[in-house]
Amino acid sequence: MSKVPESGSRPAGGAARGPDTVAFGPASLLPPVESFDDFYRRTYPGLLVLARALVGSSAEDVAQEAMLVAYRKWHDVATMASPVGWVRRVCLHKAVSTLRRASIERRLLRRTALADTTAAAADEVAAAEYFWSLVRRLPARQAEAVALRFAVDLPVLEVAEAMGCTEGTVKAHLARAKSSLADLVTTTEGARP
Amino acid sequence: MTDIYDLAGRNGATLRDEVAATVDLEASLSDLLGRHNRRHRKQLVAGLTAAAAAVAVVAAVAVTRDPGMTEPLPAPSPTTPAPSHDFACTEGPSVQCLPGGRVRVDAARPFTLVPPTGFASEVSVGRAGTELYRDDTELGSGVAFIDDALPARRNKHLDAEEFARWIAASPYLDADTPQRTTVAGRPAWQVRVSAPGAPGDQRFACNQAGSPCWPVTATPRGRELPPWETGPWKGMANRYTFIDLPGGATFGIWSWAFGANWAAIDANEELIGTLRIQTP
Repeated sequence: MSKVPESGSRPAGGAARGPDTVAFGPASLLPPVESFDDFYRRTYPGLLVLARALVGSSAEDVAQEAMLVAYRKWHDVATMASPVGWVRRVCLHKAVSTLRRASIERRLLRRTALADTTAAAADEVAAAEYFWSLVRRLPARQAEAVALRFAVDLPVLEVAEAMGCTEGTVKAHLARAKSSLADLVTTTEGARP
Repeated sequence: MTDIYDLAGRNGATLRDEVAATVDLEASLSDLLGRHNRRHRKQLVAGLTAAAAAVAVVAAVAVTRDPGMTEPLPAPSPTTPAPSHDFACTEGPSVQCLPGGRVRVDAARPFTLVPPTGFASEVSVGRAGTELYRDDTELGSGVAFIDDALPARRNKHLDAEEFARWIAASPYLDADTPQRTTVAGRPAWQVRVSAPGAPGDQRFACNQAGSPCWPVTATPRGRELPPWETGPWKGMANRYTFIDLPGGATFGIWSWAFGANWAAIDANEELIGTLRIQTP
């Protein structure tokens, strides 16, 4: 495996690394920050869970694209109060864009009778995947709240931080999502694989 | 009745367990670095090409310029686009929200737009280009801006006129005669296209039937993956616009609307009219 370029990194204490990282001079007096590699290994699984819940099969692409942004800006991101919170927000943004496109294509497929419902059901064999496919039918902000709270298993405070809103707003999104999901689960119970 | 929070908690735990059991962190990290290197190379090539073109233009002006001429050449003065009334800009990794309702996209050739009323707030930068979607149509409509448009399944670069004429000549698409026009203050070529049917044979469909569309533009994805293809779907209204840029690149604009909604295509021109491309 090729490694992130070593040049420009601080030699001790887990230096910040990335394509544009130059950490000499006054920066070397700062406390050591996590290397991108370590950040990636620690954060990527959670990011992939978030993306899986929100976009399904395109998850890896979405999570990697979010991480790529972090890698390019690692010099700045590494010193943020919450690099994880930042990369989650990038991931949410990318997931919403992907969902919007998918939703348009789904509507057209229904309209032009090109949808292969058998194949769709076969793809969603796992009950968990089936549940998250229902979550993806919710309005974007509700789906984000459910994915962060229950898939990533974050407390409401961190969900609010990732979504850029208050805890009260998160709770409102969760309550509305709960009601919508209850309806969806009831109406689609017969079709559940 | 099912307890939804309990159901969500159980399915969340299942998802976390599955990801933990299947994710290969070292392979993923290696993939990430590969993505970075491929894009870095692409941007470098685009930058060098643009710089070489700028040098050539400066040299040509110096050679042909009348020695007695002292007046500077008139600078282009594009009209200032009117700010959008309801576009709530959302910042993204390559998207900057600027004053006056302007959005700047950091592509290999950066460009700005002023999304008018009727467009959703996300500017999606993905494999099909930079996309904006209307939120006022029933079936969906949008515009994709492709900063280096390449023809699908053609091993050659096409200039603006060639691209428009190549699309118009497709046996699978209904197209008007390409028209010369001006977009973003630059000469361009435009062609209206629709697809009467979907590809019957998967080999002829976008991404080998990843989507039931006719491949028109392709976005390279490195050596490991075939280029990502996209194009008109059955019954979709489309207007392609191609602009020749200094350095030989062709900037593509794909305006599309499901349900043969030509009114949406016409409305999309309002967004396209705000395009400003930054070149040396």
